[in-house]
Amino acid sequence: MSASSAFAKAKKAVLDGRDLDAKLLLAAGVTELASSIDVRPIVTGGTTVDFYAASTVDSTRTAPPGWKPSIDIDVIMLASDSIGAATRLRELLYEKDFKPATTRKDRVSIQAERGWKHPDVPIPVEIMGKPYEGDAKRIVQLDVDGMPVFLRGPEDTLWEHVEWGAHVKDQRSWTRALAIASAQRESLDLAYLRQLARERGFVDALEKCLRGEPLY
Amino acid sequence: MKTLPLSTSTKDTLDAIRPRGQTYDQVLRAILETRPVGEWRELLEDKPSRAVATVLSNMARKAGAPSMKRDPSEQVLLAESARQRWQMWQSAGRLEARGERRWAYRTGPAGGDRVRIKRVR
Repeated sequence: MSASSAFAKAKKAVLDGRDLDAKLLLAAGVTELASSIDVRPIVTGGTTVDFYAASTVDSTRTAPPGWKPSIDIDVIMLASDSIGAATRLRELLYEKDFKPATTRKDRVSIQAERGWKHPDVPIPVEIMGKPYEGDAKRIVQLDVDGMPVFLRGPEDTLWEHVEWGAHVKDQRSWTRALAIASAQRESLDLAYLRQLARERGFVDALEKCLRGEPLY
Repeated sequence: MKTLPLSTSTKDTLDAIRPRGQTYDQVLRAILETRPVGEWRELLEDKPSRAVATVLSNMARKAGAPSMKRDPSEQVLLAESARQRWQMWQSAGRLEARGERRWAYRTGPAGGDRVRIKRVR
């Protein structure tokens, strides 16, 4: 399947209300384009939560009133020169008729513009020029209808929400953490997570999450 | 005036709207002062970063805005739903393990959400 086919399928998925399918197909198309310039984008953020929690916490259907479900795709570059790779990908998307996602009057240059949208798919792709946070060895490859998409690993995705949820008492993050921990129970590297918890000082919070307990 | 703790991602977000010469703290407080409490939800829906949402939500609660908490029991039920659905994806052939840290995912109508994505302004 080509990038253009992936974008066409993403458009249909949006029309059908299949949020996660749309985001993954869009990511697959962007990943395919990025491979032509030797860049590998890693999907992070709400899309990974949506996947690892099996679409139970970040769809428009399940979000509680006032919560905005993840409606964009955050991607970062796995490279020593993450800023340069992000810049090159933004330039490429512009060449492929993606448009800036923002409409503010003081729009920055193409190279600095983070948000991009395919003309047929109303989901922004945020190309962030910052280094990957987490263990690169735990990145997951997801073959979406045969096309590769690279996702931040489930442990690092879970940890981000455990730490933030416990640190600022954020219910949304804790809900995400519980859902990921539950769905991914059999595959999580608990030793790695517990090491993170010891290093960052959230041992009790992690264990609470793994036991499936509410924040408070 | 007490300085608000902000993450790097929050600062990146605020950089997009921060006028030259203003601090992050000044930007956030200006937002709070110019918007009625009832507009918090709309503002938070526009937020590009979780950290901004959390900080503003906490400030909104202190200012008397309704809480956006989720029922604790609902959290637990949602977590169990996530587990069941992940297993269902595999039994239905939507998701298939392809080795260590590799999965195959099949898109399609079966089991997908039925709510339209709101168009981004």
